[in-house]
Formats: sequence, C-alpha cells, structure tokens
Amino acid sequence: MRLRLLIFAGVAVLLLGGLWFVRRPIINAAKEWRAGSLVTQAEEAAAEKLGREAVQLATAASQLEPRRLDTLRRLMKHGRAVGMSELPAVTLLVFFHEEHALEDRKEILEWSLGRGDTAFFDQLFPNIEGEQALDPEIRLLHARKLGMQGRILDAVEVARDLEGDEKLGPEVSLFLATMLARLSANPAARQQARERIHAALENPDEKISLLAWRSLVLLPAEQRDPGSAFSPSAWLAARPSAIGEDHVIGRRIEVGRLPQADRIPAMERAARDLVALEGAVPAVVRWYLESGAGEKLLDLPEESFLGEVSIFSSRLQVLLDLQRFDEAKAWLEKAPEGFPESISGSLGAVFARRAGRDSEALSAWRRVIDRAASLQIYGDCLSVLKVAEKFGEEEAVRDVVAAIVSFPPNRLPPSEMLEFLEPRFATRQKEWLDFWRGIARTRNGDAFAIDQVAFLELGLEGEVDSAGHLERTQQIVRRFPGAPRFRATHALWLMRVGRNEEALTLLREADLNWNETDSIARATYALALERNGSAAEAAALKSGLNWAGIGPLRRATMEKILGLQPGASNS
Amino acid sequence: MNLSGPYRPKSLRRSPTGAFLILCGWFALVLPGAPLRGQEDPGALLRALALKANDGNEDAAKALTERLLSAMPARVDPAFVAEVESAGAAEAARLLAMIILRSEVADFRQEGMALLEKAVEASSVAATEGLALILLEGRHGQALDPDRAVALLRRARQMPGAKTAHRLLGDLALKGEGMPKDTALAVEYYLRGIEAGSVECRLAIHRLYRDKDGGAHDLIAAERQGRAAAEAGSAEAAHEMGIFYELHVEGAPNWSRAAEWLKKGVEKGYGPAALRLADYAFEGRLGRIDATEGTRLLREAAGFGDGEACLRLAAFYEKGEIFPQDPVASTAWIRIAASIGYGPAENAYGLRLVNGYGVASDAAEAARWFTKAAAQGLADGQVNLALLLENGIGVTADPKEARRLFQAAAEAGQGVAQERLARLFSEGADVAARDPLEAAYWAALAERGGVQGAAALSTKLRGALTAAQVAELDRRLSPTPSGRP
Repeated sequence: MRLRLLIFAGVAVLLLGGLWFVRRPIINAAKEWRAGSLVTQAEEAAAEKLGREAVQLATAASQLEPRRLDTLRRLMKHGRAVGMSELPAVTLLVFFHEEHALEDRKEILEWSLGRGDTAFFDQLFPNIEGEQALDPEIRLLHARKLGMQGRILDAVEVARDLEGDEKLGPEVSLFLATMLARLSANPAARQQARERIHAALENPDEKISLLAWRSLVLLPAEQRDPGSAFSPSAWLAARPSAIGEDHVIGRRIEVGRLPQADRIPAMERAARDLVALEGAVPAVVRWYLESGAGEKLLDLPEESFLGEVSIFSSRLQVLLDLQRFDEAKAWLEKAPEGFPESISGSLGAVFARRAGRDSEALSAWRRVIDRAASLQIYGDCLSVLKVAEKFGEEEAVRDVVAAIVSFPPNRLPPSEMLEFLEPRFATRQKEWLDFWRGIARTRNGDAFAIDQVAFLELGLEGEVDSAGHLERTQQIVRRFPGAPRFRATHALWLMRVGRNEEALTLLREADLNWNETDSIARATYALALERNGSAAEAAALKSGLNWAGIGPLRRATMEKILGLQPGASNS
Repeated sequence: MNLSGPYRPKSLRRSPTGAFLILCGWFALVLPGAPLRGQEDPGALLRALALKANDGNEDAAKALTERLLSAMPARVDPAFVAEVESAGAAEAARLLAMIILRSEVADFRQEGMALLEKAVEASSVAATEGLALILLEGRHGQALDPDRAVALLRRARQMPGAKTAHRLLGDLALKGEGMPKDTALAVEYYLRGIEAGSVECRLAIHRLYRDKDGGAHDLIAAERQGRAAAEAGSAEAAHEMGIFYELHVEGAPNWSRAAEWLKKGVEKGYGPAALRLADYAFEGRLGRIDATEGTRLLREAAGFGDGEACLRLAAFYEKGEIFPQDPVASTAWIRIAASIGYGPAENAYGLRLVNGYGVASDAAEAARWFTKAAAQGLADGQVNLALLLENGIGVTADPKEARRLFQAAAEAGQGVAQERLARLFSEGADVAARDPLEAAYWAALAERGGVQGAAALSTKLRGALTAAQVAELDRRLSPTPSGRP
C-alpha cells in the first residue's frame, strides 16, 4: 500500500513537474482559445445588432493578447465594424505578424486610405520592404496616399511607372486621370485626363466604366462629352447599376450639346424628372450651382428638398445667399427632423437682426450660445460660429469662441480641427498657449497638441522644458513619420539645443516633398541648411517663403526663430 | 576633303553640359590653369575641404590633399575660401568631388565619385543634381544611366533649392528617357520649376506650348510664358520671343514685333538675337534691305561671341559680297570664331590652314584645330582629321585612329565618311577587317546622301554580294519606324 502510494506520489510529482514546464504553452493555448471564442461571440452579437456587447466582447478578446493571425484578423475586421478603441493596436499586430500575408498588409493600407488616415499609412508603409515594396498594388496604394495628401505630381510619377501592369492597367489609368484632372494649370494633363476617362467609359468591367463616368465631373464642363456620336442614355441603359447621380451626369452631357441660350431651360426641364430619382438631388443642386443658376433651384418643387438635412440645407443656402430672409425663415420652419437647433437658432437671431429687431437678435444669440456652451457640444458651437461669421455678427463670434476654449478638452474635437481659431487670438498669445497646454495635459499622447505647445514655446524666452519637448516631439515624429509639421518642430528643438546636424538629417531623411510643405516647414529646412554651412541654399529658400494659410502666432514665432522682423518675410 | 560642313547656331547646340558648366562655373576658379584672381594657399584650402569631407579624419584628409596637389596644382580665389569655410561636411564633399572630377585626372575619378555619392547620401541638392547630370551624359567615366538619373532628379526636385531638376525632368519626360514619354508630365515639371523660380523652365514650356506637334500647343500660354521669361531678364527668352512672332503666330510673321524682342535680346548681349536681326536687315523684313545695318548687327553678334556671326562675316569677305574680297580678313574672322570654341569654325579654320587660304599653309596646325572640332563631336571635323591621319599629313599616320574617326562620323550620317568607310571595308590595307556586306552598306548610305562617286561604288559593291548578303543588306537598309535605316 505504502509502495503504491509512493509510486502514485512519484507519478503525481512527475506529472506536475512536467506540467510546470509546459504551463506557458498550455496557458497561451487556453488564452488563444478563449480569445477566439470571444471574437466569435462578438461577431454574433454584432450580427444581432447588439453593438455595446459586440464592443465589450471584442475588447475582452483583445485584452487576452491573442497571437494567432487568424484570431487577430477576425478581431481587426470586427473592430472596424463596431468601432473598438483597441483597433489600431490590433491592426499593427496583424501588419507586423511574422506569418502575415501580403494581402493582409494591402488590406490594412487600403483600409487606412478608405478612412482618410494617411498618417497611419505613413507609419506602416516604410516597413514594407523587398519584394513586397515592388508589388504593383502596394505601389498603387502608395500613389493613392500621395494623391490624398495633395502630392499630385508625386502620385503621377508613381502611377505612371505602373501602367505596364496588365492586371492593374485600367485602374491605374483611371487613377492617373483623376490625378491629372487636378493639375488645372496644365493643359496637356487635362487633355490626357480626358482621353483616359473617355477610354475607360468603354471598359467591359461595369465598375470601372461607372467610376470613369463619375470621374467626368472632374473635367471642365466643356470636356466631359465623349463626342456627339456618344449617347448617354444608351450608355446608361446598358449599365443597370447606374444610380441617380449617374443619370444627372448623362443629362448634363446632353444639355451641354445644346446652344448656350437653350441650356438653362433644358436643365430645368431635365431637373424636374431627375429629382424623382433616388439620390439625384445633390447632383442636381451641383448642376444648378455650377451653371450659375443657383436661384433657379427655388423653382423646383419644395418637396424635393424635404428629405435629408443636407438637401434641405442646400435650398436654405440659396435663399440666404439671395438674402431672401423671409422665405428662408418660412423654409426653416419646414426643417426635417435632425436639423441642428444651433443653426435654426442662430438663423433666428440673424433674421431678427435683418428685420431691425436688435434686442430680439441679441437674446436669440445669447440663448443659442448659452445652450451650446452649457451642453458643451462642440458641433453646435461650430455651427453657431459659422453662421455668426457669415453674417458679420462679431460679438456672437467672440462669445462662441470664448465658449469653445473654455470647454474641457475631452469635449473638444480632434486638435487639428481647432487651429483655425488661432487668428482670433492674434493678440492673446498666452491664452492661446494655455488653451493648448490644457489639451496636451489632458489628452495623453495627442500629437497635434504636443506639437502645438512645443512649437509655441519655441517663441518663449528663458527657462523652458527643452529636454521634455525634445523627447515628446521625437516620439511623435516616430509615430507620424510623414508629417512635415511634427518633423519641423522636432528639428527646431534640436537646433535650439545646438544639435544642428541631427536636425538636418531628420529633415532630409523623410519621404517628403519639401517644396510642397508649408512655409514653417520650409523655413525650418532653410534654418537647418544655414546652421550646417549651406548658406546659399538656405538664402534662396528663405527668400521664397509665403505665409498663406499660416496663423499669425505661428508665423510670428517662426519669424522670431529666424531672426526676422514681424511681417518682414512676406514674399 | 569636306569643305563646308553643316553649321548649326550655337543656341541649338546647348546640352545639359552647358547647365553643368553653369552650375559648377565658379569651380573654374580653382581648376588647374584657370585664370587666377587670388593667391590663397590651395593646399590649405584642399586640406580644409578634405578634412570636412572626411568627417574630421586628419590622416585621410592629408593623404588625399597631397595626392591631389601632386597631380593638379591650383591657385584659389579668396571668395572660394569663404565658401569652403562655411561648408558643412556634405557641401565640402560635393565641392571636393567637383574639383576632382573637373580636373579630369582619371586616377582620381573613383575618389571624386565616392565623395559625390557621399554628398548625395547627405541629401545635398547640388550634389544630387550634379550626379544626375553626370549619369545622363556618361561623363567622368560613368556609364549612361538615365533611370538612376531620373530617380536622383525626382529626389532633388522634392528638396528646397533645386535649381535644374525640374527642367531636366521635363526634358527627359519629353524624350521618354528614364521614364515613359509623357508631355503632361513634362509640362507639370516645368510648371513646378516655374513656381520654384526657374527661368529655364519658363523658356522650356514656352517652346513646348508654341510647338504644334508637342502635344501641348497653346499659343496664348506660350506668349505669356516667353514674355515672362524675357521680362525676368533672360536674353535667350527675348530671342525666342522673336522667333515666336516670326514663326509661330497665326497667319503671317509679325516681323516688327519679332524685331522688337530681338532688339531686347541684342541689348542684353545675346549673339543669336543680333544674328537673326541681321538676317532681317539683309532680307528686308523690316521694310527695306539694309546691308549696312545687317553688317553692323553681324559685327555686334560677333562681339558677343557668336561663332556663327563670325563665319557669316568671313563668308562676305571670302565671296566679296558687301565687303571687297579679302582672304586674310575672311580667315581672320574664322580664326576668331574658332578661338572661342565654335566647333564648325574650328573645322573651317583647319581647312583654311590645309589650303593656305588667307593664312600660311600649316597641316600640323590644321590637325590641331580638326582635333578640337572632332572632340566636340563634329562629324566634319572627325572626317577631316581622319583624312590627315590616314595620309600622314601634318601628323604621324595612324590608320587605326583614322578608321575609328570615319566610323564615328559615318554613324553620325556624314556622307564622305560613309564613302571612305565603304572603301576601307572593301579594299582597306587591313585585309582582316574587310567585309563586303559592311562595305556595301556604307556605300549605299553614302549614295543616298548624294556623295560624289558613291553611286558607282555602291553598285559595284552590291554586285559582289551573294544573294543572302543582298537580302541582309536590304533588311539593314529598310527604314525603321524612325524613318532611318
């Protein structure tokens, strides 16, 4: 018995000992299994439209730190669908997974472009190397990213080299057409864009041909028509997936063939039919506005504009532009559900002012601003601000700006959307800096706010936290390698502490077109050149600075760094 | 011997080399044998540069300086010293690289290129543009590499301060060199260059817009860009505006407006403008024929260093037109044009020396001038030098070099060279090099060019071929898509 017990104990010890050594893989496998199971449950919850649960389950899955590529892929896709906050981290895990496929990377890059996140793209793209970097689809994605950043010529250069690719040919050609059409000062580019778009109209792939059709609007009106032998109605009839907007394009071509004097009446006749098509009204509105006949929109049946807020607003906009305030007021009373109260309230104040009822206007402004401020709804404040600016209501503008900057940072929009307020603080630099310091302090890792504070503090004399700024700006350069603004600020701090060579290297190593960056970035580059012994290059660069689009405080700070008199660097 | 090689105006012979020379013009101040203005110590200067370029490595800097000084003693302008003092490591590497490469000392090429690459690596704009030019022209022993040149220029154009990248990229896009041929892209490069302040780009786009077959024909834009380039101070642009109103406006030439612009070019000292205006005077384009004004303008153009104007004056003296016939004066004008490096004049002066027309006959001196013309790639000069070498006139006979020169000129389409090459292939002393098919091929080309005696030679050589060789000959002679065999 004792022997048996001893043997049993020995086996048990051995077993436990063995388990001890393999405990990690077992725990990991269990976690993997659990994470996979949670993702499945999350997907099921999403399918049943249980949004909150879908997010919670996905978050729980991500906290288990799964490593299996399949689980991560599913989690990433689910995270996109339900808006999970851990999505960027999960996406990075898929992108850098050792078993990743090229398709994973393509899909992630495409997704980042689809949501307009070029910064995320810039963070990922430099990590694609070797064969993968030569893949035509990857290069086309790069071209698309360049196009989205407004680097049109760079995008054309990349895409032009891809034209030989058989699979991508039509897609590349159409992409090139959309880029070339944006080179408005270049007659040869416009001509080429036209030829490419017209050629793509006949592509057997309906998706491509419809994309080409919708790209026609990128061309000047007189270049859209493929020729008198071309029948828009026959073309549309052969494409069953054409939508209302496509039919508007077709009618515009037909009407464009008429003598000038007949076009507006023909447009009005066509529009009466077209507004009945689903989704056609915004395209009809564009047609009227581009034809310079915006006021004739008012002749269309009112019911056509009663659907969505944006369509309703387009008619309201015309009435306001024509200063037909009484009609605008009457139209506003028919506002659809969801029309912002901030706009209707602001316009109420405007209507009162126009009618000479100043005290009513004043109280209306007070009411609408107080409401937006107390509810701390930034979007409402912005709407009030836009209306007040449009109608020259300076006092209301001041009040609403004061309300915005008093918001707690978590009630404000992404930082880059706030810089437009800078001119309102032209003589109040300290307040502006404090506003940004508040955001940077509260929003951990807000790159734009960190950069803004770091830049504005470059203009301060005396003790500043150089080491802190250097570290923080370096971190954001790592996170956003394609952003010249962040790179320039870090370079300026490097130069401030005498690390001039590092600053120039930092600026030069970026995949950026410095000739297309703003003046602050270019001035920074000039300064780095000057401090590194390229005085002639620096002087040429400094003399060509143009401060358009730069706020007064940023400009003053940069001029101070450059040792220039305020306003002296006007080109 | 070819007596009247085709002359081309200097303005049409511009090449990227020109831009390169402009870019690096001030380097001439430190080149061996360059005109000297200062007496700074070149050794100290080179050491300073080498030290910076070698990241402070004193031993490497010292060794390089000693080697350089032993091979290419130089003296230095004080202004250059200031440049060296302010240069950072990258700029120093570029300066030193250009000094080394411009010296054309073959032993140093590798070091020069390494320094230039180092400056490129450090993103020096001027170095990047300079290296691209070297690769486009195959200079300093480098193989032609338009693809890398384009990649470098694309990088340079993204850097602030790029001077010629946009213009070069535009030119390459028009030619389809290193990238697909694309007029739209060319226009865009030029437009970006204009935004960056490049008058060269303005001029290039003016030419492109005015050209009917360029794919971007737009006379209004051409006029606007040409005018802006001229108003920015470009004498060449003023000349081009003259050409615009003469050749590119709708309807009849607008001679008076053309003349207005050409006069602006003349005021700025631009020879081709004076030459063209002289033609107007001789042809009566401005109301009446005015030979006095024409010759005045020709002399003015010659004074601006226009070789073609010198040759025109020489022709007047030679033929006794306008001036009394005067061989000495005629040859003196050719000598002036040759001395300013105008290739056709170098060739023409060589001919005068061979023939003893207006100057004492001197075959050795003639060979020296033909050599200069040949070095510029002038096919007539190559043929004339080859003829002297073949016959040992004024130089030691060198049939091998003569044959090489005939071959080069023949490939450039020079008829006499083609005929001579045909004879060398059929009856040359070097029996091993005889080739009846090659002989017949070059004879046929010479015949097409209307060279005297070539028709008979061609018939004879063709007759000696086998049927298979005739078929091969016809295949080689049939036009390619470019219209040339």
